[in-house]
Amino acid sequence: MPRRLLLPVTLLAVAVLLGSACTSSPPPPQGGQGGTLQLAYLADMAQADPDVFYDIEGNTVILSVYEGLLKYKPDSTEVIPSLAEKWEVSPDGLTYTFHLRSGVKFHDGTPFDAQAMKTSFQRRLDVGAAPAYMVQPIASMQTPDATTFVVRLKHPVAPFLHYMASSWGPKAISPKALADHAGKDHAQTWLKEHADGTGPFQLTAFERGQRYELTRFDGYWGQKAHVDKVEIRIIPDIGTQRLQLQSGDLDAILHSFPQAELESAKSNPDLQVRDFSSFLNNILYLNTNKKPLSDPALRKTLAGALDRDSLVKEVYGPYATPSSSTYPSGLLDPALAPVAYPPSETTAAAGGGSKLTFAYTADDSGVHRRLAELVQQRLDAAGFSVAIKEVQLPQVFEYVNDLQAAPDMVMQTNTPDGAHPDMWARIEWYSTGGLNYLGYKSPQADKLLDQALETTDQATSDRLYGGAGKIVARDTAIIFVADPRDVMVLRKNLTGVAHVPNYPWALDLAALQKG
Amino acid sequence: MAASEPVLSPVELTRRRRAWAGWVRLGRLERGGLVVLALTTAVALLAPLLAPNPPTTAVPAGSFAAPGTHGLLFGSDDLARDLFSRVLYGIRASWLSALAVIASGVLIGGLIGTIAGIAGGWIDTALMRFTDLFLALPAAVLVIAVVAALGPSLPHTLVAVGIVWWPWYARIVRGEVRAQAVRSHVDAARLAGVGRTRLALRHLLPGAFPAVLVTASLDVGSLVLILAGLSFIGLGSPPPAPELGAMAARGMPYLLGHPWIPLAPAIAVFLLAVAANLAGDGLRDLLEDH
Repeated sequence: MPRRLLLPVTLLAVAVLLGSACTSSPPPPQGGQGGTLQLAYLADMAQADPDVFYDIEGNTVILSVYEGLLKYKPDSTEVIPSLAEKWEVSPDGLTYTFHLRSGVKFHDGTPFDAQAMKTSFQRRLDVGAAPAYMVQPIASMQTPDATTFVVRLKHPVAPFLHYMASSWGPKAISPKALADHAGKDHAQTWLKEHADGTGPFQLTAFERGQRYELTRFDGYWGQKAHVDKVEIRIIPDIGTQRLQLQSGDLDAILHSFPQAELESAKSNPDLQVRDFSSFLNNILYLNTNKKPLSDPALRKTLAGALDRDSLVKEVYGPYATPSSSTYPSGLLDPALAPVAYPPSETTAAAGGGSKLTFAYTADDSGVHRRLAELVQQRLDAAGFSVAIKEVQLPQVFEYVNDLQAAPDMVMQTNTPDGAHPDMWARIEWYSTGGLNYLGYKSPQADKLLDQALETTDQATSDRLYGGAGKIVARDTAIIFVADPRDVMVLRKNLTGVAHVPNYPWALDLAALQKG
Repeated sequence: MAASEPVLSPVELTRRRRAWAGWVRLGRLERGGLVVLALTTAVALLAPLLAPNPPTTAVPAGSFAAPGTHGLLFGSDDLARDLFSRVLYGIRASWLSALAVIASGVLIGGLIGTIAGIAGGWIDTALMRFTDLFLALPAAVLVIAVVAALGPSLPHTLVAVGIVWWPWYARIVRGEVRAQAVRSHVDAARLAGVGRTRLALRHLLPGAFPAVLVTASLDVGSLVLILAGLSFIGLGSPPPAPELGAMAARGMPYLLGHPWIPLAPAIAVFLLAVAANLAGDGLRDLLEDH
């Protein structure tokens, strides 16, 4: 160990820190129109293949380059036309007929038609990655003419239109690109770092771990993008991003701005803090499969001891509300599956000295860590003994394989794939749900969800979804903590801000303008 | 010299004069380092008495109180805890941990080094190759691997760092013991019929003492930094324990808006390390006299 180097190295480190805090290159020249939009990701998006991509960081790229049949209206859960101009659903809920837009071109010039859409759907099935579940209920696909695409399902799927509008839903990929780069893996190798869709931007650079570049697609069928280019750099530290935003090197921070610093950002005349409704949901999972939380009474005591409402207020300030339902606000009438955790009159003996392990994933905004430590503080005061640890998301996904070794509590913020109650309940608490980290099981709730999925009448299916939610609420197996807003900090000169609740951490880049 | 001054033997007098002369000859920085070191040790031992608030519970002032407000010297952190108290406890944890690692290193390394030095022959070779084995492993990676395997907690971190730290002392002690063994006073003792154990304890080990002390004092600084570094990357005590590295790491999101939260513990680490190094230099200068 180079012990004698200690002092010089320390001093050097301090100097570097000071240096990086002081240097700031002048903002790039800006034109009235066009220009380059500078954005940042905290982490690499891993890949740009829309049939494999299943992350949140990267949504902005996918949504700018590719389009699906449908999309969401800004600030709404309403499904609106995208590549399909209109659509019909048969009364039995099995046949969907999409009338496609004509005159649409892929980035490589290939015209878009029903056959191209069918090829893309088929590819998603063939690739068979996680998002393939959205096309797996399809029994057959027909293309009676170039602008008509008919899908027949094996059984009714209530949220099917929302699958089509999801940011992880099926997208149109150029059939020419798929054929040219097919290889042996349905062009997966090529599409990892390239893209060929119909969106308002082309992916012109994909430098892993460095930057992505989007360039305006002038052959776009709709309203063309205002900016010429979008540069997205990987800047893994939110503090660095923040300095660059302040100096004008970045135009926006789309997520994870430190929550406690939003007030000071608000008072900066160069910045605007915007918050949008979202389906993000902060959740505390309890391990019902092992002692001590296998005891429902103890789980109720725990939920009461959290004093959840004041917890949410303290950590999120005005940027979240305590969850009023087992579904994120806006997905389902909260009265159908309400939750409340009235603070109980806990004494220091309430927890009975129960030892609990508590794992949480760190987020860069500092929210999870702060929530976790406050939860620990409060539960310790109520007679629990909580040991917390910070873990990485892949570890969290492992817990379900050994529930006895898994922690007693896990905290995570999740978002549904689409704006439909099924797309939340089925991943969160269905017994095989992908985000049911601590293996909660209720055959009764599963049954209600399965019934709801195949019910075509919305009022009936909503009641069924509510019924399933009520069971989870009654069991206190999952504590629904907060419905956070999607908070973004932008330079003041940015206009044309359009946000969709179901596309977290993303804005419509084509609509953005640099003033 | 006053009449009441106790009469000192000439040898004792010389020793005292020499020590004083050494102190005077020390640079201002080294002297400052020694003073800070003494203060730090006092703080480490008395932290529970000095801290105005408990380190893990919230104060009424609420979170993000600025330094100097609400009677909080360093302000409060994001969980409304008194930062000054937390820093004091953090210094205590860092300091005592560093000393514990050094003590374990001196003990284990000293034992192995002494046995190797005295026994010689194949025992020496075997022990030293064993030591080399540990020296050859990349220390940082080994520590991280050990802590990751055992699970993050302060005792585990100390064990892990202890594992990579003792070989240095084994080498130093063994070298010094070998060097002493050929000195004439050891030959004389051996000829006078002194037993092996007594020879080792009375005549060989004392010779290794200054070298070990100098190394140990210079090590404190790097240990403070290494322990803080491990704690910074999440391999120290689990929260809510007040640890300087972890406090700095957890405060990073607030660097721009509420800079005192990460800076107070970071500055404490910095000062500890600098003081320990300067004091180490000073101690070495003092001991070089002998």
